[in-house]
Amino acid sequence: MDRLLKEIEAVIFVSVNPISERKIANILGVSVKEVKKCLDKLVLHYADHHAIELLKVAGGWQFYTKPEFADLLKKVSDENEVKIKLSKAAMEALAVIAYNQPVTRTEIEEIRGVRSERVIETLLKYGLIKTAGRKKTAGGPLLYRTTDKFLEVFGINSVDELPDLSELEAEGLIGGDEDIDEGKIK
Amino acid sequence: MEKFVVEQESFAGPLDLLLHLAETKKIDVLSISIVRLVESYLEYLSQLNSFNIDEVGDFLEIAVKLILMKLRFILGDEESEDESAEDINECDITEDIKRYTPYRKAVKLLIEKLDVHSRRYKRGDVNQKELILEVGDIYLLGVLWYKRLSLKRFRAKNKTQLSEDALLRSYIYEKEDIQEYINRLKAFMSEHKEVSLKNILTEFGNKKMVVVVVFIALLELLRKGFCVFYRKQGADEIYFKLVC
Repeated sequence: MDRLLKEIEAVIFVSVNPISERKIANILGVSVKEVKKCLDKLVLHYADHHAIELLKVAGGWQFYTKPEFADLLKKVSDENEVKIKLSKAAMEALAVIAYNQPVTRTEIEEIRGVRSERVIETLLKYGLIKTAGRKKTAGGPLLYRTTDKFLEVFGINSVDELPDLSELEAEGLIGGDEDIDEGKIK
Repeated sequence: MEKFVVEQESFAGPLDLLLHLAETKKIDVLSISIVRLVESYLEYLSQLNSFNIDEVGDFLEIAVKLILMKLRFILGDEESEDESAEDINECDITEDIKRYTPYRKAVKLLIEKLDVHSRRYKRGDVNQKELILEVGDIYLLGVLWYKRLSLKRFRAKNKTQLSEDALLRSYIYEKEDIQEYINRLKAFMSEHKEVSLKNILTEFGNKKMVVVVVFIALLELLRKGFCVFYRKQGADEIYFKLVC
Protein backbone atom coordinates (compact mmCIF):
# COMPACT_ATOMS: atom_id res chain seq x y z
CA MET A 1 0.00 0.00 0.00
CA ASP A 2 1.25 3.47 -0.77
CA ARG A 3 1.65 6.14 1.88
CA LEU A 4 -1.64 7.99 1.21
CA LEU A 5 -3.61 4.78 1.42
CA LYS A 6 -2.10 4.04 4.84
CA GLU A 7 -2.72 7.58 6.04
CA ILE A 8 -6.40 7.38 5.07
CA GLU A 9 -6.65 4.01 6.80
CA ALA A 10 -5.15 5.51 9.98
CA VAL A 11 -7.48 8.53 9.92
CA ILE A 12 -10.57 6.34 9.56
CA PHE A 13 -9.29 3.93 12.22
CA VAL A 14 -9.07 6.63 14.89
CA SER A 15 -12.42 8.22 14.02
CA VAL A 16 -15.16 7.31 16.46
CA ASN A 17 -17.89 8.57 14.07
CA PRO A 18 -18.15 8.10 10.30
CA ILE A 19 -15.73 10.49 8.59
CA SER A 20 -16.52 12.09 5.24
CA GLU A 21 -14.27 12.02 2.18
CA ARG A 22 -14.03 15.82 2.27
CA LYS A 23 -12.88 15.81 5.88
CA ILE A 24 -10.24 13.16 5.16
CA ALA A 25 -9.07 15.22 2.17
CA ASN A 26 -8.82 18.36 4.33
CA ILE A 27 -6.89 16.56 7.05
CA LEU A 28 -4.40 15.05 4.61
CA GLY A 29 -4.24 18.04 2.26
CA VAL A 30 -5.18 16.06 -0.84
CA SER A 31 -8.10 16.16 -3.26
CA VAL A 32 -11.41 14.40 -2.64
CA LYS A 33 -10.85 12.54 -5.91
CA GLU A 34 -7.58 11.05 -4.61
CA VAL A 35 -9.28 10.08 -1.36
CA LYS A 36 -12.13 8.35 -3.20
CA LYS A 37 -9.67 6.42 -5.32
CA CYS A 38 -7.81 5.19 -2.23
CA LEU A 39 -11.06 4.35 -0.43
CA ASP A 40 -12.10 2.10 -3.31
CA LYS A 41 -8.79 0.25 -2.93
CA LEU A 42 -9.18 0.01 0.85
CA VAL A 43 -12.72 -1.37 0.56
CA LEU A 44 -11.44 -4.10 -1.74
CA HIS A 45 -8.42 -4.76 0.49
CA TYR A 46 -10.60 -5.34 3.56
CA ALA A 47 -13.36 -7.23 1.75
CA ASP A 48 -11.61 -10.59 1.56
CA HIS A 49 -8.82 -11.15 4.03
CA HIS A 50 -9.90 -9.32 7.19
CA ALA A 51 -12.48 -9.63 9.95
CA ILE A 52 -13.28 -5.96 9.51
CA GLU A 53 -14.74 -4.12 6.56
CA LEU A 54 -14.79 -0.49 5.48
CA LEU A 55 -18.29 0.87 5.00
CA LYS A 56 -19.80 4.18 3.98
CA VAL A 57 -22.53 4.96 6.49
CA ALA A 58 -24.44 8.22 6.97
CA GLY A 59 -22.20 10.01 4.49
CA GLY A 60 -18.95 8.95 6.15
CA TRP A 61 -16.51 6.07 6.30
CA GLN A 62 -16.05 3.74 9.23
CA PHE A 63 -14.52 0.38 10.03
CA TYR A 64 -16.93 -2.31 11.20
CA THR A 65 -16.46 -5.94 12.07
CA LYS A 66 -18.11 -8.29 9.59
CA PRO A 67 -21.58 -9.62 10.60
CA GLU A 68 -20.26 -13.20 10.73
CA PHE A 69 -18.32 -12.37 13.94
CA ALA A 70 -21.39 -11.02 15.73
CA ASP A 71 -21.90 -14.06 17.99
CA LEU A 72 -18.31 -13.93 19.17
CA LEU A 73 -18.32 -10.19 19.80
CA LYS A 74 -21.70 -10.34 21.50
CA LYS A 75 -20.08 -12.39 24.25
CA VAL A 76 -17.57 -9.63 24.84
CA SER A 77 -19.97 -6.71 24.62
CA ASP A 78 -23.11 -8.12 26.25
CA GLU A 79 -22.74 -6.36 29.56
CA ASN A 80 -22.49 -2.98 27.86
CA GLU A 81 -25.25 -3.58 25.35
CA VAL A 82 -28.51 -1.69 25.79
CA LYS A 83 -31.25 -3.26 23.68
CA ILE A 84 -33.85 -0.85 22.36
CA LYS A 85 -37.01 -2.51 21.12
CA LEU A 86 -38.79 -0.96 18.18
CA SER A 87 -42.33 -2.05 17.36
CA LYS A 88 -43.30 -2.82 13.80
CA ALA A 89 -45.58 0.22 13.99
CA ALA A 90 -42.53 2.40 14.72
CA MET A 91 -40.66 0.74 11.83
CA GLU A 92 -43.58 1.42 9.52
CA ALA A 93 -43.74 5.09 10.51
CA LEU A 94 -39.97 5.28 10.04
CA ALA A 95 -40.26 3.84 6.52
CA VAL A 96 -43.00 6.32 5.63
CA ILE A 97 -40.88 9.20 6.92
CA ALA A 98 -37.75 7.94 5.15
CA TYR A 99 -39.56 7.81 1.81
CA ASN A 100 -41.56 11.03 2.10
CA GLN A 101 -39.43 13.39 4.15
CA PRO A 102 -40.13 16.02 5.17
CA VAL A 103 -43.58 14.74 6.07
CA THR A 104 -46.34 15.67 8.52
CA ARG A 105 -47.97 13.37 11.03
CA THR A 106 -51.27 13.51 9.12
CA GLU A 107 -49.54 12.38 5.93
CA ILE A 108 -47.92 9.49 7.82
CA GLU A 109 -51.30 8.51 9.24
CA GLU A 110 -52.98 8.66 5.82
CA ILE A 111 -50.52 6.11 4.47
CA ARG A 112 -50.48 3.87 7.53
CA GLY A 113 -54.24 4.03 8.11
CA VAL A 114 -53.63 4.40 11.83
CA ARG A 115 -52.82 7.13 14.32
CA SER A 116 -49.10 7.62 14.76
CA GLU A 117 -48.55 10.08 17.64
CA ARG A 118 -47.01 7.52 19.95
CA VAL A 119 -44.70 5.95 17.41
CA ILE A 120 -43.49 9.39 16.30
CA GLU A 121 -42.74 10.19 19.94
CA THR A 122 -40.78 6.95 20.24
CA LEU A 123 -38.78 7.66 17.09
CA LEU A 124 -38.04 11.20 18.28
CA LYS A 125 -36.99 9.86 21.69
CA TYR A 126 -34.45 7.50 20.14
CA GLY A 127 -33.16 10.17 17.77
CA LEU A 128 -34.11 8.26 14.63
CA ILE A 129 -36.20 11.18 13.37
CA LYS A 130 -36.21 14.92 14.04
CA THR A 131 -38.56 17.82 13.41
CA ALA A 132 -37.78 19.76 10.26
CA GLY A 133 -39.81 22.95 10.50
CA ARG A 134 -43.50 23.41 9.82
CA LYS A 135 -45.49 22.90 6.66
CA LYS A 136 -46.84 26.11 5.18
CA THR A 137 -50.45 25.01 5.30
CA ALA A 138 -53.35 25.69 7.65
CA GLY A 139 -52.27 25.04 11.22
CA GLY A 140 -48.59 24.78 10.25
CA PRO A 141 -48.14 21.11 11.20
CA LEU A 142 -44.67 19.90 12.16
CA LEU A 143 -42.60 18.20 9.52
CA TYR A 144 -40.44 15.18 10.31
CA ARG A 145 -37.33 13.77 8.68
CA THR A 146 -34.88 11.00 9.44
CA THR A 147 -31.56 11.72 11.15
CA ASP A 148 -27.97 10.67 10.57
CA LYS A 149 -28.44 8.32 13.51
CA PHE A 150 -31.14 6.52 11.51
CA LEU A 151 -28.60 6.01 8.71
CA GLU A 152 -25.95 4.82 11.17
CA VAL A 153 -28.28 2.41 12.96
CA PHE A 154 -29.48 0.83 9.71
CA GLY A 155 -26.07 0.94 8.01
CA ILE A 156 -27.27 3.13 5.18
CA ASN A 157 -25.14 5.77 3.50
CA SER A 158 -28.06 7.90 2.33
CA VAL A 159 -31.84 7.52 1.94
CA ASP A 160 -31.23 7.69 -1.82
CA GLU A 161 -29.67 4.24 -1.40
CA LEU A 162 -33.09 2.77 -0.61
CA PRO A 163 -35.01 1.30 -3.57
CA ASP A 164 -37.73 3.48 -5.07
CA LEU A 165 -41.28 2.96 -3.90
CA SER A 166 -42.22 2.08 -7.47
CA GLU A 167 -39.65 -0.77 -7.37
CA LEU A 168 -41.09 -2.03 -4.09
CA GLU A 169 -44.61 -1.68 -5.46
CA ALA A 170 -43.64 -3.70 -8.52
CA GLU A 171 -42.38 -6.51 -6.28
CA GLY A 172 -45.76 -6.56 -4.54
CA LEU A 173 -46.77 -8.50 -1.47
CA ILE A 174 -50.16 -9.81 -2.39
CA GLY A 175 -49.32 -11.03 -5.84
CA GLY A 176 -47.95 -7.82 -7.34
CA ASP A 177 -49.58 -5.27 -9.59
CA GLU A 178 -51.62 -7.84 -11.39
CA ASP A 179 -53.78 -8.13 -8.26
CA ILE A 180 -54.28 -4.43 -7.76
CA ASP A 181 -55.19 -2.55 -10.86
CA GLU A 182 -56.59 0.96 -11.06
CA GLY A 183 -57.80 0.88 -7.49
CA LYS A 184 -59.72 -2.37 -7.78
CA ILE A 185 -58.84 -5.76 -6.44
CA LYS A 186 -59.53 -8.48 -8.93
CA MET B 1 -23.87 0.72 23.43
CA GLU B 2 -27.34 0.88 21.88
CA LYS B 3 -28.61 -2.02 19.79
CA PHE B 4 -31.99 -1.65 18.11
CA VAL B 5 -34.15 -4.74 17.74
CA VAL B 6 -37.59 -5.04 16.15
CA GLU B 7 -40.46 -6.80 17.88
CA GLN B 8 -41.50 -9.01 14.98
CA GLU B 9 -44.60 -10.49 16.55
CA SER B 10 -46.56 -7.23 16.55
CA PHE B 11 -48.66 -5.80 13.72
CA ALA B 12 -47.73 -2.41 12.37
CA GLY B 13 -51.38 -1.44 12.05
CA PRO B 14 -54.75 -2.51 10.61
CA LEU B 15 -53.53 -2.55 7.00
CA ASP B 16 -50.59 -4.74 7.99
CA LEU B 17 -52.99 -7.14 9.72
CA LEU B 18 -55.27 -7.16 6.68
CA LEU B 19 -52.42 -7.95 4.30
CA HIS B 20 -51.01 -10.53 6.74
CA LEU B 21 -54.32 -12.39 6.68
CA ALA B 22 -54.46 -12.11 2.91
CA GLU B 23 -50.97 -13.60 2.68
CA THR B 24 -51.48 -16.41 5.15
CA LYS B 25 -54.82 -17.42 3.67
CA LYS B 26 -53.50 -16.87 0.15
CA ILE B 27 -56.68 -15.08 -0.81
CA ASP B 28 -57.41 -11.58 -1.96
CA VAL B 29 -58.18 -8.93 0.60
CA LEU B 30 -61.88 -8.77 -0.16
CA SER B 31 -62.37 -12.48 0.50
CA ILE B 32 -61.20 -12.09 4.09
CA SER B 33 -63.81 -12.93 6.66
CA ILE B 34 -64.55 -9.88 8.79
CA VAL B 35 -65.07 -12.22 11.73
CA ARG B 36 -61.57 -13.70 11.20
CA LEU B 37 -60.14 -10.19 10.93
CA VAL B 38 -61.76 -9.09 14.18
CA GLU B 39 -60.72 -12.32 15.89
CA SER B 40 -57.11 -11.85 14.83
CA TYR B 41 -57.10 -8.29 16.02
CA LEU B 42 -58.65 -9.20 19.38
CA GLU B 43 -56.05 -11.95 19.76
CA TYR B 44 -53.33 -9.40 19.03
CA LEU B 45 -54.80 -6.89 21.50
CA SER B 46 -55.03 -9.51 24.24
CA GLN B 47 -51.26 -10.01 23.96
CA LEU B 48 -50.57 -6.33 24.53
CA ASN B 49 -50.10 -4.87 28.00
CA SER B 50 -51.87 -1.69 26.98
CA PHE B 51 -53.43 -0.32 23.85
CA ASN B 52 -54.58 3.01 22.57
CA ILE B 53 -58.32 3.45 22.03
CA ASP B 54 -57.59 5.62 18.96
CA GLU B 55 -55.67 2.77 17.36
CA VAL B 56 -58.62 0.44 17.97
CA GLY B 57 -60.82 3.07 16.30
CA ASP B 58 -58.52 3.09 13.26
CA PHE B 59 -58.76 -0.67 13.03
CA LEU B 60 -62.57 -0.48 13.14
CA GLU B 61 -62.50 2.12 10.37
CA ILE B 62 -60.62 -0.32 8.15
CA ALA B 63 -63.04 -3.12 9.05
CA VAL B 64 -65.99 -0.86 8.18
CA LYS B 65 -64.39 0.06 4.85
CA LEU B 66 -63.99 -3.62 4.13
CA ILE B 67 -67.63 -4.35 4.96
CA LEU B 68 -68.78 -1.49 2.72
CA MET B 69 -66.56 -2.73 -0.09
CA LYS B 70 -68.07 -6.18 0.22
CA LEU B 71 -71.52 -4.66 0.16
CA ARG B 72 -70.65 -2.83 -3.03
CA PHE B 73 -69.55 -6.07 -4.63
CA ILE B 74 -72.72 -7.83 -3.50
CA LEU B 75 -74.96 -4.98 -4.62
CA GLY B 76 -73.14 -4.53 -7.92
CA ASP B 77 -71.11 -1.71 -9.43
CA GLU B 78 -73.81 0.09 -11.38
CA GLU B 79 -73.84 3.88 -11.22
CA SER B 80 -76.29 5.21 -8.74
CA GLU B 81 -77.56 8.60 -7.75
CA ASP B 82 -78.10 7.24 -4.29
CA GLU B 83 -76.07 9.08 -1.60
CA SER B 84 -75.27 5.87 0.26
CA ALA B 85 -73.63 4.48 -2.87
CA GLU B 86 -71.37 7.55 -2.98
CA ASP B 87 -70.44 6.95 0.64
CA ILE B 88 -69.51 3.39 -0.22
CA ASN B 89 -67.33 4.59 -3.09
CA GLU B 90 -65.52 6.97 -0.75
CA CYS B 91 -64.71 4.01 1.44
CA ASP B 92 -62.77 2.27 -1.31
CA ILE B 93 -60.03 0.45 0.57
CA THR B 94 -58.12 -0.63 -2.53
CA GLU B 95 -56.49 2.78 -2.88
CA ASP B 96 -55.38 2.61 0.76
CA ILE B 97 -53.90 -0.84 0.19
CA LYS B 98 -52.24 0.14 -3.07
CA ARG B 99 -50.63 3.16 -1.43
CA TYR B 100 -49.66 1.23 1.69
CA THR B 101 -48.22 -1.98 0.16
CA PRO B 102 -44.78 -0.64 -0.88
CA TYR B 103 -44.20 0.73 2.63
CA ARG B 104 -44.85 -2.70 4.07
CA LYS B 105 -42.13 -4.00 1.79
CA ALA B 106 -39.93 -1.07 2.84
CA VAL B 107 -40.37 -2.11 6.49
CA LYS B 108 -39.19 -5.62 5.65
CA LEU B 109 -36.21 -4.17 3.84
CA LEU B 110 -35.31 -1.89 6.76
CA ILE B 111 -35.64 -4.77 9.22
CA GLU B 112 -33.26 -6.83 7.05
CA LYS B 113 -30.79 -3.95 6.93
CA LEU B 114 -31.05 -3.44 10.69
CA ASP B 115 -30.55 -7.14 11.30
CA VAL B 116 -27.36 -7.24 9.21
CA HIS B 117 -25.96 -3.95 10.47
CA SER B 118 -26.66 -4.72 14.13
CA ARG B 119 -24.35 -7.69 13.71
CA ARG B 120 -21.50 -5.33 12.88
CA TYR B 121 -19.44 -3.71 15.61
CA LYS B 122 -17.37 -0.59 15.35
CA ARG B 123 -14.50 0.63 17.47
CA GLY B 124 -15.62 1.42 20.99
CA ASP B 125 -18.75 -0.77 20.86
CA VAL B 126 -17.05 -3.52 22.80
CA ASN B 127 -15.80 -2.73 26.30
CA GLN B 128 -17.12 0.79 26.07
CA LYS B 129 -17.78 1.69 29.65
CA GLU B 130 -20.38 4.15 30.75
CA LEU B 131 -18.82 7.51 31.47
CA ILE B 132 -18.53 7.81 35.24
CA LEU B 133 -17.71 11.18 36.70
CA GLU B 134 -16.23 11.42 40.14
CA VAL B 135 -18.30 13.49 42.51
CA GLY B 136 -15.40 15.88 42.76
CA ASP B 137 -15.40 16.24 38.97
CA ILE B 138 -19.07 17.15 38.89
CA TYR B 139 -18.56 19.65 41.66
CA LEU B 140 -15.52 21.09 39.92
CA LEU B 141 -17.37 21.38 36.61
CA GLY B 142 -20.26 23.11 38.36
CA VAL B 143 -17.94 25.60 40.02
CA LEU B 144 -16.06 26.23 36.77
CA TRP B 145 -19.28 26.80 34.89
CA TYR B 146 -20.44 29.26 37.53
CA LYS B 147 -17.10 31.07 37.64
CA ARG B 148 -16.91 31.30 33.85
CA LEU B 149 -20.38 32.79 33.81
CA SER B 150 -19.35 35.32 36.48
CA LEU B 151 -16.18 36.11 34.54
CA LYS B 152 -18.16 36.65 31.34
CA ARG B 153 -20.52 38.99 33.14
CA PHE B 154 -17.59 40.79 34.79
CA ARG B 155 -15.86 41.24 31.42
CA ALA B 156 -19.03 42.53 29.82
CA LYS B 157 -19.64 44.96 32.64
CA ASN B 158 -16.08 46.23 33.09
CA LYS B 159 -14.91 45.74 29.51
CA THR B 160 -11.67 44.16 30.69
CA GLN B 161 -9.92 40.99 29.61
CA LEU B 162 -9.02 38.68 32.50
CA SER B 163 -7.16 35.45 31.99
CA GLU B 164 -9.01 32.23 32.82
CA ASP B 165 -5.79 30.46 33.80
CA ALA B 166 -5.67 31.81 37.32
CA LEU B 167 -9.34 31.01 37.73
CA LEU B 168 -8.85 27.39 36.65
CA ARG B 169 -5.77 26.97 38.85
CA SER B 170 -7.58 28.32 41.90
CA TYR B 171 -10.28 25.65 41.64
CA ILE B 172 -8.30 22.63 40.67
CA TYR B 173 -8.05 21.30 44.24
CA GLU B 174 -11.77 21.30 45.00
CA LYS B 175 -11.90 17.49 44.64
CA GLU B 176 -9.78 17.21 47.81
CA ASP B 177 -12.19 19.58 49.55
CA ILE B 178 -15.03 17.12 49.03
CA GLN B 179 -12.93 14.34 50.52
CA GLU B 180 -12.05 16.61 53.41
CA TYR B 181 -15.75 17.30 54.05
CA ILE B 182 -16.52 13.57 53.81
CA ASN B 183 -13.88 12.87 56.49
CA ARG B 184 -15.16 15.69 58.69
CA LEU B 185 -18.75 14.48 58.34
CA LYS B 186 -17.74 10.93 59.26
CA ALA B 187 -15.89 12.21 62.32
CA PHE B 188 -18.83 14.40 63.32
CA MET B 189 -21.32 11.55 62.93
CA SER B 190 -19.13 9.10 64.85
CA GLU B 191 -19.08 11.55 67.79
CA HIS B 192 -22.88 11.45 67.94
CA LYS B 193 -25.39 8.64 67.82
CA GLU B 194 -27.38 10.51 65.18
CA VAL B 195 -27.22 13.99 63.70
CA SER B 196 -29.89 16.05 62.06
CA LEU B 197 -29.30 18.09 58.92
CA LYS B 198 -29.72 21.17 61.07
CA ASN B 199 -26.92 19.97 63.41
CA ILE B 200 -24.64 19.39 60.43
CA LEU B 201 -25.23 22.82 58.91
CA THR B 202 -24.76 24.46 62.31
CA GLU B 203 -21.46 22.64 62.68
CA PHE B 204 -20.19 23.28 59.14
CA GLY B 205 -21.69 26.69 58.47
CA ASN B 206 -24.53 27.71 56.20
CA LYS B 207 -22.74 29.61 53.46
CA LYS B 208 -24.11 28.71 50.04
CA MET B 209 -20.87 27.04 48.89
CA VAL B 210 -20.49 25.09 52.15
CA VAL B 211 -24.08 23.84 51.97
CA VAL B 212 -23.47 22.57 48.41
CA VAL B 213 -20.25 20.80 49.40
CA VAL B 214 -21.85 19.28 52.52
CA PHE B 215 -24.75 17.95 50.45
CA ILE B 216 -22.41 16.40 47.90
CA ALA B 217 -20.34 14.86 50.70
CA LEU B 218 -23.52 13.48 52.34
CA LEU B 219 -24.71 12.02 49.05
CA GLU B 220 -21.33 10.39 48.56
CA LEU B 221 -21.48 8.88 52.08
CA LEU B 222 -24.99 7.55 51.37
CA ARG B 223 -23.95 6.20 47.98
CA LYS B 224 -21.03 4.33 49.47
CA GLY B 225 -23.22 2.99 52.28
CA PHE B 226 -21.32 4.68 55.10
CA CYS B 227 -24.45 6.27 56.51
CA VAL B 228 -28.24 6.11 56.35
CA PHE B 229 -30.85 8.80 56.64
CA TYR B 230 -34.37 8.66 58.05
CA ARG B 231 -37.21 10.65 59.50
CA LYS B 232 -38.63 9.90 62.93
CA GLN B 233 -42.10 11.08 61.98
CA GLY B 234 -43.89 12.09 58.78
CA ALA B 235 -42.53 15.55 58.00
CA ASP B 236 -39.90 15.57 60.73
CA GLU B 237 -36.31 16.61 60.25
CA ILE B 238 -33.91 14.37 58.37
CA TYR B 239 -31.44 12.47 60.54
CA PHE B 240 -28.20 10.80 59.55
CA LYS B 241 -26.18 8.14 61.30
CA LEU B 242 -23.04 6.19 60.47
CA VAL B 243 -23.53 2.49 59.81
CA CYS B 244 -19.90 1.50 59.24
